[in-house]
Amino acid sequence: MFETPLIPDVEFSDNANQRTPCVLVLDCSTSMIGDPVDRLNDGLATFENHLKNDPVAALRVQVLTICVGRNDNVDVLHNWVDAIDFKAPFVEANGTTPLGAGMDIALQLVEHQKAVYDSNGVSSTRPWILLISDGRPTDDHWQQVAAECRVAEQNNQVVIFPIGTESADLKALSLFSNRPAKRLRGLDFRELFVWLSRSMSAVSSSVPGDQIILPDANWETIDI
Amino acid sequence: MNANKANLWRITGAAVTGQGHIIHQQPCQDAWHAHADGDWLIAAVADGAGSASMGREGAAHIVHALGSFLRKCLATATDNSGYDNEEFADYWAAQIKAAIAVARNQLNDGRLHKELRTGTVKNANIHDFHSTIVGAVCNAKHGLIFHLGDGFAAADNGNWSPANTVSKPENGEYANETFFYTQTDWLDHLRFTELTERPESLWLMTDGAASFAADGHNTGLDEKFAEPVHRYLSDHPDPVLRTRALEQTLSADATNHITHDDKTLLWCSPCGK
Repeated sequence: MFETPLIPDVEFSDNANQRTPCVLVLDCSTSMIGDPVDRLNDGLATFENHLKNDPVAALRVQVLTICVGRNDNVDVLHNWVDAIDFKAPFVEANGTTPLGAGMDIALQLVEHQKAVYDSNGVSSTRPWILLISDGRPTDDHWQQVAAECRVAEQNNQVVIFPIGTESADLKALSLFSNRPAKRLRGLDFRELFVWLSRSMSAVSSSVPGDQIILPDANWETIDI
Repeated sequence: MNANKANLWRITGAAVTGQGHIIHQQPCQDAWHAHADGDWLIAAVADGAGSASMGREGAAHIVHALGSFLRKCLATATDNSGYDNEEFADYWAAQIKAAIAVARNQLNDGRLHKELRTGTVKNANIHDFHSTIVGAVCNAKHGLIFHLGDGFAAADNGNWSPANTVSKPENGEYANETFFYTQTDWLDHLRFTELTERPESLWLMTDGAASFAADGHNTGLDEKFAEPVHRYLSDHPDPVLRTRALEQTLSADATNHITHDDKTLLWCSPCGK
């Protein structure tokens, strides 16, 4: 049967002009020294590779990484970057766990970036913040920030996923979100970041009116 | 109104299933409908919400309900009110609002649900039929685009970007939120844009097609896409060949790197323009 060809000379450009922001808030405290931080770095590299291998996500997802540690320090390791240009940071573990301060900065940067998108006519999906820790917050005002996180989530300004390793205080981490914190099986950061990259792919190619089915979380354990 | 005059519009439309629905073995949720009669054109595309259990039916229902209602307006009119004068926009805006209101009432009627029901939804209500709308009514001198939700419309005379007239998508706070004719506040989101001159081409599209057919800021059409499409569709007299070529083009692998959404494009051009 005669097959109708494509209309000749047509070129396709991605003009959707849409971004999917994702913030990583990483616990880089002393307790992460050794295998945990090594596996976290391995997971970050996996995240970079998977995002870059998805043509839609590579152009639409924007990543920002925040590291908390040292002497109650919050370090923004790099500014917002398109996934295609994202280079996984190499993080080192040392110091305290000011997760409240880290999440406070994350909320501010998410809000600022939304304003940047809006002022430039760029549409965006709801920002994600992934909070990863092996312990509990050590800064003074973390519970106040956690309450602000829950309000921001209720107002549909952000989606927050608190994730703890087996030694983490999940009750404390759960206060940063309206959904309970998830426990990471062992130190399977690689699986976690594979899941995150797949989730980002689904969100970045989502369309109005769709409900997104996130990939199965193979990295998660179920508390009984 | 002179019914069944020679059709003076060349029309080609196609709705193709996006990669996201192909993977999940779901049908295309978009629909389109066009009717030409002499100088007159009535055309609409609609995008059923993926999250609505009967979004596909909602999209098909609204484009055909609009087409049916507005055709009756043409056929039964006894004077020229709103046809060839400055009252055009007001007249047709009122008819379009009435057509959507009638379509909504039909969805609120359980008997229609029985006809539309796919077997999976037993107790559907109007929100199960969520769908956007992008459409237009035109004659030789005037034109009016109507728009509710996302998607994109452009009337162009070869400038491409910016186009002569556009109707931009309306999203919510975030990109994956929009508005539907099935919502209670639908009138707040129904927008009208008058055409300032008779266009060489009129493009109506759902957001899937707009992701590559519209330019980056929705001020017009992407010339690298629109110019060859317009040239091909203008040059080929066989409507079947035109439709198949447009379907093939909208289904090209390259589009899957841009969107996984369904893609519907309706191209209309006055003959001899």
